[in-house]
Amino acid sequence: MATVVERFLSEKCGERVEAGDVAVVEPDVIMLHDGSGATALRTLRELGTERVKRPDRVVLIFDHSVPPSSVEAANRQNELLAFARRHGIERVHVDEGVCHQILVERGYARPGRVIFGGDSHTPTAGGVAALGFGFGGTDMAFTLLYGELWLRVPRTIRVHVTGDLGPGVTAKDLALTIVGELGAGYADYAVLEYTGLPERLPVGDRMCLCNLATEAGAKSAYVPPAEGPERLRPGDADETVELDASEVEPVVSVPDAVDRVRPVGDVQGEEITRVFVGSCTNGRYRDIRAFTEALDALGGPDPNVRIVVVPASRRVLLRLARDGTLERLIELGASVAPPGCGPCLGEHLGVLGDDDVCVSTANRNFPGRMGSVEADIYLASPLTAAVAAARGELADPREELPRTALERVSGS
Amino acid sequence: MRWEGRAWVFGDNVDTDQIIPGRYLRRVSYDELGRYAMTGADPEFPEKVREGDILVAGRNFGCGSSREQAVMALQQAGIACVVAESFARIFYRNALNRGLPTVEAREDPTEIVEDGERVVVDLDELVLRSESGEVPLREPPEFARRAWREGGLLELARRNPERPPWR
Repeated sequence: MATVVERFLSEKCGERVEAGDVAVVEPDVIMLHDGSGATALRTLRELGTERVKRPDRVVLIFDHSVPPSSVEAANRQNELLAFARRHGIERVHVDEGVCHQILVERGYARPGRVIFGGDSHTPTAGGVAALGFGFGGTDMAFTLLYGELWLRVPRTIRVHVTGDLGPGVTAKDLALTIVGELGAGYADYAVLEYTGLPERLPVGDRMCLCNLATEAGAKSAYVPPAEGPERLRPGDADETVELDASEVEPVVSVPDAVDRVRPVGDVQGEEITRVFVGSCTNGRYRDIRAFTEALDALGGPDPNVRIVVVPASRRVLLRLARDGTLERLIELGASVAPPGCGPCLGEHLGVLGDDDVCVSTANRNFPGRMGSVEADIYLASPLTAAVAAARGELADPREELPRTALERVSGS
Repeated sequence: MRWEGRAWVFGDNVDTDQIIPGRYLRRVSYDELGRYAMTGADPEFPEKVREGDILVAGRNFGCGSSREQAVMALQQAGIACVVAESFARIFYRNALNRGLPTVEAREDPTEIVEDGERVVVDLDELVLRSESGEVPLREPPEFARRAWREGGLLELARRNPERPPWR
């Protein structure tokens, strides 16, 4: 037997590799966004060469500063477009959505594939049984140049989840609870593999779990498909952690660390000025729809709360537009921004001021992440975000929302 | 390899938003990042730091986003090396590529170092020394030593772009 990552990487290397070995890997997909792409391009210039070995494997996605947030951003994106044209890179997605969402929607991430991405949340692809690894700009420049990169084969930590989530408790609460239990650096240099309940969750929820694996330090993440060929099913693990989903409560990550996880009830009453719904963690159709329905059920937002909603992709936005959710969001007073990363990284479309307290459905609440170093960020599920938006303060969705609204998302 | 310089002490889980806040990434040029280094943790840091200074931190230094500008900002600010109990993997790789030495300590080095005091990082004796004591360092892998000596994998590739530096 071998772990899933040992299996995948052995296939790619053409020889058997084990945890701890240094492997030289040719990934199936080389993903760059407008941030890491620009850094990689600069590195290629420092190297004095501009070769791209496998343009057919490169996917370029603009999502961080879209539409361009500054002259510098616009210039860098134009340079990247020219670079793609010069090298015959045809898979270019501009303003279409967050890279991790586009990788899945467009089928670049699919079971059994290995993806090297210039973004720390590349492990999100584990939601569709692909192994995604995140790198910085120079490593991505090397991958463009050589079509390969060295990698130490990681060990595997399995998180086995038994039981079911209760009403009003979402995959986000499960994901944050796991990060809280493990701690920020627990999975450094390891793959987090989620088995049990996660195997039965919808794709979006599996992506949410794998996305937050990064915040436990994981090098990659994986949820085995419930059915599928043996090679995609769980193999060995170097360590197993068990968790009972029925004991998971609605939680928040309190400022300023993702692993500082508390039941919402413990911080009940904390006043909120901003709500952000979106990102590669929770910007999908079901997230935004659950948020809208819950906010609607509670009679709309508190007058002191400003809401920004950023769909994870154009496809998500279109679906929200077609079924009337978008219209309802606008009526409720939310600002709906174009698909992309939005204010998650503090660049534009809703930057926080010194006194702001934000509930965000994204994945990071570090000081200064969304703007001012003074601002506070609570990470939460779309349901908890809806309750905060409606009440103007943090509150437990199970106490606030009608039973019907809770059941619609139970176990989701 | 050995470094001697003033130390600046930070805690556990120093993330890349603290090293270089996201709002500067696409507003300033790559060569001006040093002016904003560590401002997410200490807004006065760029005024205090000098060439050859050393960062000392706890666990999981450099976690968070993959932004390589975090390494560039520290280098431009003059940081000679970072000593921490552990490093987040993407930051460690970025530093290896750009030739910023990242040395792991066997115990929490922040316990024995005061902000602003002079410390010695000695890779031959594998020890970090301060006024008040010593902390043993982990032996860095040979390929890391080589990369740091040569100015990073990027520099090795620059000298011979035809051959991947790991081949």
